[in-house]
Amino acid sequence: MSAATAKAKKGAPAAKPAAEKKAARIEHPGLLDVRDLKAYFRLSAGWVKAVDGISFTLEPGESLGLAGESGCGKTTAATALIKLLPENGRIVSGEVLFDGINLAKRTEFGMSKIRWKEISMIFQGAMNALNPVKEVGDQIIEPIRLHDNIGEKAALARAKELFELVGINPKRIGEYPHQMSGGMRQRAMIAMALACNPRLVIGDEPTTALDVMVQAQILELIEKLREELDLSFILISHDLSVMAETCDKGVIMYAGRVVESGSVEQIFNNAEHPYTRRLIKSFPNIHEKREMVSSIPGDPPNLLYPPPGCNFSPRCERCFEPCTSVEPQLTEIEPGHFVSCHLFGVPDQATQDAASADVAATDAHLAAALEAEAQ
Amino acid sequence: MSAVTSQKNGSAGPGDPEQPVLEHGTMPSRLKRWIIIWTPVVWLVMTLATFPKDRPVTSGFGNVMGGFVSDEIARYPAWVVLILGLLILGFAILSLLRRQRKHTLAYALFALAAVLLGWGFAAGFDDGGWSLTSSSEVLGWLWQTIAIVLIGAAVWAWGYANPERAYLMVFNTRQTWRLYRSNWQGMAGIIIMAFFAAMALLSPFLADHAYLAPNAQIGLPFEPPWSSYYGWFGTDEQGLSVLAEFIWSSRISLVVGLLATAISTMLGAAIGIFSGFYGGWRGEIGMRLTDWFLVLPWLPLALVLAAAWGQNYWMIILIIGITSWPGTSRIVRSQTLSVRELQFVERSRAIGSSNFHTMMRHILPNVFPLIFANTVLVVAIAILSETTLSFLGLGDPLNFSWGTMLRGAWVSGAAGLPAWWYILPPGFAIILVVLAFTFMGTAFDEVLDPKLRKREEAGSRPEGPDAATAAAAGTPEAATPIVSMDGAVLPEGGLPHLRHEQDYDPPKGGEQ
Amino acid sequence: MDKRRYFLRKIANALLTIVVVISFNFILFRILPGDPARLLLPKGRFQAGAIEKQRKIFRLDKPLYEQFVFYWWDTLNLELGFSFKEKRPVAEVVGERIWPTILLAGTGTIIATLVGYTTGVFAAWRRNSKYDVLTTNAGMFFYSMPTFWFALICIMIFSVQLGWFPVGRMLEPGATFDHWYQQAASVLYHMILPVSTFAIAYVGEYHLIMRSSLTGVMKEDYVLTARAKGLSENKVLWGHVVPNAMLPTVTIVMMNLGFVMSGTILTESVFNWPGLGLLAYESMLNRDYPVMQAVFLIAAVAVILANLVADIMYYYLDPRVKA
Ligand SMILES: Nc1ncnc2c1ncn2[C@@H]1O[C@H](COP(=O)(O)OP(=O)(O)O)[C@@H](O)[C@H]1O
Ligand code: SF4
Ligand SMILES: [Mg+2]
Repeated sequence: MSAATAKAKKGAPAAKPAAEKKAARIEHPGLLDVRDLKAYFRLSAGWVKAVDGISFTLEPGESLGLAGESGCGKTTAATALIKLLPENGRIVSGEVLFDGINLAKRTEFGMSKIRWKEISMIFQGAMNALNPVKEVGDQIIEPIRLHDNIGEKAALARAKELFELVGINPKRIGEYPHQMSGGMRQRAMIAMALACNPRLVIGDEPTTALDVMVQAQILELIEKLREELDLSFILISHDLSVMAETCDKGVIMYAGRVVESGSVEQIFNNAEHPYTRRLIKSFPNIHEKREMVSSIPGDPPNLLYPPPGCNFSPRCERCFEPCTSVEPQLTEIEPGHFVSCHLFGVPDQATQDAASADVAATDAHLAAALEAEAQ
Repeated sequence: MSAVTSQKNGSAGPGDPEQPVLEHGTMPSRLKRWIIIWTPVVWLVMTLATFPKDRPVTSGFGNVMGGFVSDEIARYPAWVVLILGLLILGFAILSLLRRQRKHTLAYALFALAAVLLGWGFAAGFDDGGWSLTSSSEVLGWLWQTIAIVLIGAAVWAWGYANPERAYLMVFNTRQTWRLYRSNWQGMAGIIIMAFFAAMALLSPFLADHAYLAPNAQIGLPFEPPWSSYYGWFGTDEQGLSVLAEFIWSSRISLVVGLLATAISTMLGAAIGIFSGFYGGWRGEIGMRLTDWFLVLPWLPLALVLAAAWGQNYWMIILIIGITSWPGTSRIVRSQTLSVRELQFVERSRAIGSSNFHTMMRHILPNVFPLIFANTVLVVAIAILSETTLSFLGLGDPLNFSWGTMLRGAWVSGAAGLPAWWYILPPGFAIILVVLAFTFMGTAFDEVLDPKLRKREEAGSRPEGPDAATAAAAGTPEAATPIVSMDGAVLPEGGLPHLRHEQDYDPPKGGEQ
Repeated sequence: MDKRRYFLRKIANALLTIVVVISFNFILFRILPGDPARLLLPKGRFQAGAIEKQRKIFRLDKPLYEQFVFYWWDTLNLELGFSFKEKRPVAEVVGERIWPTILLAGTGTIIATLVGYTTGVFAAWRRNSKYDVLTTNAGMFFYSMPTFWFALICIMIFSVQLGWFPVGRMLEPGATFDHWYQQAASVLYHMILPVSTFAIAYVGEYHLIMRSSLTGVMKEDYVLTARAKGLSENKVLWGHVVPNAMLPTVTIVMMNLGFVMSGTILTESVFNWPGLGLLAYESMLNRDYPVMQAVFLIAAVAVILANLVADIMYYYLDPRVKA
């Protein structure tokens, strides 16, 4: 509660009254608008196309689930949003419009003002995301003092408030990560993510390493906080049930591309893409089975050498003629519901040409980058 | 250090035409080719390593050729040959007892044992009476040749009897070599090593051993280099040729380093596997022993021993061997601990295999890559230690090693002249050899590490912080299985403890 | 584990190891081939009956267990025997030689740690940059280099060719000083070459260790978290990466500090630095057995104590130990 009050006092944009929010939504494209983002990794053997042109939008206060098999580029996409790719990673092209500002073009310095203050992140495997030799409290205070420019005491008080908010006894603020249980560490991590009242929180598999009971508790906590603080949230998971339970919107990724996106209802009740369908089928009971896509035969492609045409074609049972040569485009099949599959229309020649021209341009860009590096 | 490594061999992409195909039930032809190439090479190396010292280089082709059938060549102590023969006899009997389709391997081993035993007795009785150290055997070169050919035959027979395992060995070796080739440091190490190994092997042809005699002056003491061959590196404090000393030193330095490493590795591996395999009090004893030897200050200890035992290289080998094993032992132990937990090992124990069998058949093959990489690194340390001990005067003053040379330079005050030609060559040689072994060791370490290996195969080397993720998602086609000798294959990502993703805490129950 | 138990366990462990090493010293001396009494005599000729006398002095005529008890008693009383060469009690000889070694090794270690750590941190932080390639290869080179060879080269260049530094010794023989600071300055001047020689090998090692430790830590998730928080590169490095990377190196530095004797034997011998290392070398040449035994014991105890200190430091540096 107290954090919410603090937020109201500061007058953060996310806490605007509902009517105003609706108006804002119509005027500009939303809080986050990712357009054709490509993020590749450089290896000596070539470029790993870990994120190869993804697009989605997010409104303020909305929660979006990003799902897909392990290794399909979810983490890469998330880190690309705040430009924290590993050192061999590049944002090759595309835009990340946050509140109308293109983050992909921002400088390191400019990003450091945005990170945590506007967009914070809960990392995959939060067990290791807390520094083992620093007290948890200190780690929470660190960004508060950095961004909000307040004194040690006030920051500590705020950290305690946050602990209370996420359901940890504030007395434990001086403990080290290893003194806490897995679930508690994840709560502390969430508290840390909320430290500077960000407008967007990205959770990268925040519950994966936890056991089922704790998983449910953490998801509940996230739900609760989202409502209380009116947060926007991107929840990344390889577990569809997590997305179904917590999100308004869903984006399904496969091998670096978005294959289907839409509202959660559209995705679960009206899935159109063959991959999404198989994925949903492989979760017979959302609350029990947690094994991943064991029923889709074959493996995801090596992103160093993606197959031509549709990435899913080697495993797709409905694969037909254009699939192995022409790349499908994301098309809107009903309002807000996008699918990237030739079953819903093969792109015409002009679109194909434009796409291949785009690929050629990207390749040239990459070749130039390699050349420049070799110097 | 940049990522500009050779690219064409780094990637074993899908459908790589070079990927060997399992020829079911037949011995891989590549193994045949290897045997045909490597048997003569091994023969040449062994023969050169024992080539007589006193054959003057200048005295013509016939004389040099005569060296290959000289009665001085292959003078191994009779007891060493005998023990080897007995061991192999044992293996031969064992492999005869095992139920197998083909007994070719057993026959090859029997032949080898017979040759070694014959050699041992012939050498032992050569002086008219059996003595443990007796070693002169007129036909030593012939015995050695036959033994090496028979070893080749035994490998052949093994491949013939176990085609599947032979295939896996060939496959793994080739895969390892592919990855190794793309590591520039490893390749640099091999090249430097090859240079000095060639120098050591060919020293009878590069410099006449007679130039090392105390009265073989070629000039005044401390004469700077001049243009005649033996004068290239000048003279030492007695007027002897520094070049001749330098060349012959390479033999002692390398051999002492290798032998010391052999002792150290055997001790370290045995104690490491033992204490890792048996937990409880036996494991505790092994660990304590390791810890105690780890704190023994080796140089003061060496000085004490040297004062008592006198100066010679056997002592140096022994000292280095018994003081450098704890490092190996620790690494091996921790690896053994994790291999022990693997399913096929537990299964092997559950079906009642003897502990010894489990250790030899399951643990050792899986710990072996690690031991190998570690051994190469230990050689570097051993050579450096040898140099140090020789420098302090614990070496044999009549048999030069690079350390002994530097001692000569130090004691005779060469630095004061300054006689740089006497000081620089041995120093640089030591640095290069040590660097070479360090490079090779680190390269093997990287190449043999299953985690890394997988990622290299997925597309060569990412340097980024997220490399572990890349590894986990590597191409399944290229995954190389690590082999347990009974044909069980380890999980795809290699040994679990080497994988990053396994670091999660075990999930805990409720909160608070 | 609570603090008391942790410390007690570590101390007990160290004591046990010391007991083992001292006993090892006793056994070592008696299993060596040759008559121990003969070993205890200096090289060269000696009078008839000398051996018998030695036997008496060292109680070698008594049964083994009695010898063992007396050996322990003497060692605990720091009665380490009698030096043949110096004709003085070993404890006295060792006592005056220990300070120059501490001076040399202490300064060398501090310099090596500071330099090696700093260069290592920057090399890891700017991985694969020109600076990294240069320093890391140099580190490998220094690490592979025999210390004494470097000492000879230093003497050759800086003392003989350029004449900048003295060839060896801690002070010129027979030199007298009016003030203590003049003496100190002279010692410092004489120290420059030996200390650099001593330090250089460790600089290489610490550089490599720090670099690889840092490289490992930089892959950790909490470093990513720190960067996501918007911390500047410097704050991430010094606030999150370095403190974690330091931990594993503590043990290694302390271990090396324990093995300092091996380094000093070489440096001191070449530079004639009147410390324990030179003493060990000289007593080997003279077969001054009691002195060598004492040096060996001191070296072993130093390693054990250094280990203990590392454990204790670890307790305070790494909160996880306390769990
Ligand atoms: N640093 C890196 N270098 C090269 N490839 C990488 C790197 N990090 C990730 N990858 C590759 O990018 C792909 C996407 O990885 P990631 O985004 O972690 O997937 P996810 O989070 O969906 O499991 C994977 O195929 C992985 O192998
Ligand atoms: S485009 Fe073709 S291959 Fe790809 S999902 Fe659709 S039907 Fe399957
Ligand atoms: Mg991920």
